[in-house]
Amino acid sequence: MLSQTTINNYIETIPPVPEVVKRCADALESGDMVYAADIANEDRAFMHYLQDIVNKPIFGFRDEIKNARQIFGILGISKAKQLVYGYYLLLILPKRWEVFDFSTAKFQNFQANLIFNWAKIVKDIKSDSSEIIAAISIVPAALVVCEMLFRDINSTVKLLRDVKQLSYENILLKMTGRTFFDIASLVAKKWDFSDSIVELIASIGKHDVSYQVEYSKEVEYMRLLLIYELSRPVMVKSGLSDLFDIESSFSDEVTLNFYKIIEEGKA
Amino acid sequence: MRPIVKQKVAIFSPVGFLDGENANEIISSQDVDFLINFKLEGAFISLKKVIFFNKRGITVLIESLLRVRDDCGTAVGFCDYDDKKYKMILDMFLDTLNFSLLDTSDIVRLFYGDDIQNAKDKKILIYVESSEQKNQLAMELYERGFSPIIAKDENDFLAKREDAEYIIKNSYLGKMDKTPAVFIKHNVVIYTLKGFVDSEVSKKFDMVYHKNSIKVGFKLFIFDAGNVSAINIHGANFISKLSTAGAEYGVSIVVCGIDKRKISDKILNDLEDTGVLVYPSIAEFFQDDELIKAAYESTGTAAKNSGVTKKLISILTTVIDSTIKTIEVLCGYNAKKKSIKIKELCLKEDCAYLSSSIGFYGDIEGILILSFEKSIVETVCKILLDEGYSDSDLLDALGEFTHIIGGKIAQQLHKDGVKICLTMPRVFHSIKDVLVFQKNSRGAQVDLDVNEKNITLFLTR
Repeated sequence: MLSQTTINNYIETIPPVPEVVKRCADALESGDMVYAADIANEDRAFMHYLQDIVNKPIFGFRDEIKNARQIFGILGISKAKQLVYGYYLLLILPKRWEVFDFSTAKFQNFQANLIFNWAKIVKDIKSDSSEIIAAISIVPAALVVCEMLFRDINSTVKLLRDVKQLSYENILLKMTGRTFFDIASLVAKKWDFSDSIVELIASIGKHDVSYQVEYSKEVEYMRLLLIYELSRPVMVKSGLSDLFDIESSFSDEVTLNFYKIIEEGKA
Repeated sequence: MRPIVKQKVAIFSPVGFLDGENANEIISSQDVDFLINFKLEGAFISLKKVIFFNKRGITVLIESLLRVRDDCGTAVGFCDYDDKKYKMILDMFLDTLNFSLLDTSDIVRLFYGDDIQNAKDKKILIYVESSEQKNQLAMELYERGFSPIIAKDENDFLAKREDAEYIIKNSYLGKMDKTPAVFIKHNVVIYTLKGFVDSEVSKKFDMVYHKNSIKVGFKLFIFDAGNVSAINIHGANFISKLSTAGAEYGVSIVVCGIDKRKISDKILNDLEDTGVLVYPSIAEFFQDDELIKAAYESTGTAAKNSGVTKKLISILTTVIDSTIKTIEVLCGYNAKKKSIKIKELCLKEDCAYLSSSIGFYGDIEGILILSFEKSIVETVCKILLDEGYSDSDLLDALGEFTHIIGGKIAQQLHKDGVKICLTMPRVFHSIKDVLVFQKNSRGAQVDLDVNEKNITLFLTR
């Protein structure tokens, strides 16, 4: 059985963000892309990650992009920030996934899809808040949290899910009273994100939080994007599509507009 | 995506966006094979967690299920949608709708599957625009023993909806090709035959289900031939063989609803010679109080020789450990063994207990019975219960919990090279029912202490 102690123990195992990456994120936050690129060059593992993601097919660059200045320059400040925050999650990725049929490569594809599609949404809804970018970058931590928390009880939970259509979040909620977004927000807190970002991440799983009023449109699109990405074939196959309980309270207008944005430009 | 299979009905629950890109992954070719193997009565797709779908997605999904229907007659369609989604599907398929649409997954289980307990007590209200569909929906429910109420008009519907447990409003019955359908009434398993009964019946008949029903103690099996046009020698031979094979377990086979137009005298005599009982109709069969009484009393001894065997004792540790582990994972309490004894099942008759049983077969055969003090059932099943649950939800949850424990035992035994399959769980409302079920059977009784409450585990053959 999962408990608050299980969650606390897990949070304790999360490593701090490397100094270089933190400085790079701060430089991007202050709008200095050149300085941020120079900092990124100091860490080979970090550079390797940046190259790996940016050269994924979804971004559609013909030639391989290697240089940090090139990477940040082509992506622009907003996507670059998402990319750097995305690196934080590499710190908590398991070497081998046990609960889900997933891998680091698939996780990075998932991150790349989020970055790419969120940029399309931002363009359409004309909103580019820093807090929202940080939140959407950290939200995939929920996938990792689920994998790590459910490992020890996986075989029993599988049997449970064979007899009843329960999402992992529903099981987590019944056992601990917490959602994955609550735990993702604890991860963000551990990484010293501002209180407003921590609160924003926690609020994604709730429906009656006053904080959402400021970003209600963005949060709605963020939820839709998460649901959309989690229902793609790779995620269905991996079992991760059953992570959350989906509420169908989205307005038709927003849902249709969302699907139109995402499908635009697809082959 | 594996569906949830309950009472011979499979429900797939896709999530989020449903389009041509992901539909193939939701029902894969392995899922289609799984459904064909299990010869289910219904396979439906719940749209509860779907927030967007397009025609391509719906078409790909239903085409997969139609392959299952073509192969083994399983009824297929969609459920758990709102008014808007229902209209969208109707608009998408207009004159080509050849699958069913049923308001909710609970309503699917009214039409298909073998659980129709307390059918007469279920308050079902039908309000469907098309009079043809309205009649078809009502007829199907009547045939299965329900007594639905049909609303005459909108005002009538609004007046009656408050009292209804099930509201059938946005439903459409597509091609129904379920042969032979099965349901259980008064402890009697009823197979419904339709059309011409020939050698095809043996191909479509779910023999595994039949054998499992015998294993969990059912003794009376009816073939309802009321809607049959004719039965030939091959069809009759199949029923005769079931009768002969079941005799050693004390099983009786009954055929209802046949007359001289449907079957020749010679074939009918041959049927009766093999011990098959023949009744003019289902209704007349159920007027035979003696036989119905026998159905209730005789569910005790499923196997020819019951009792505990060395083989069963050899897996007792695995059974106990798996049960304890499952209880601990799902409810968080430690379970401790209080005692282990080989004896007849002994439970305090004055206590409020809820019980369930599950049979297993394969390398080892046996039955596991779990009896819980009622007050602990809610605790151990809390993950399976939604808010505001009823007593019948609690029993359902107990059945599901027992299935999980059975699955855990099967998993553990598999690691030791012992392969077993599970029957569906059966639940008991009272101690008396369990004791009748296990009359004169010795087994291993293990009493567990969970949060100072008693859970009894009884393993027998």
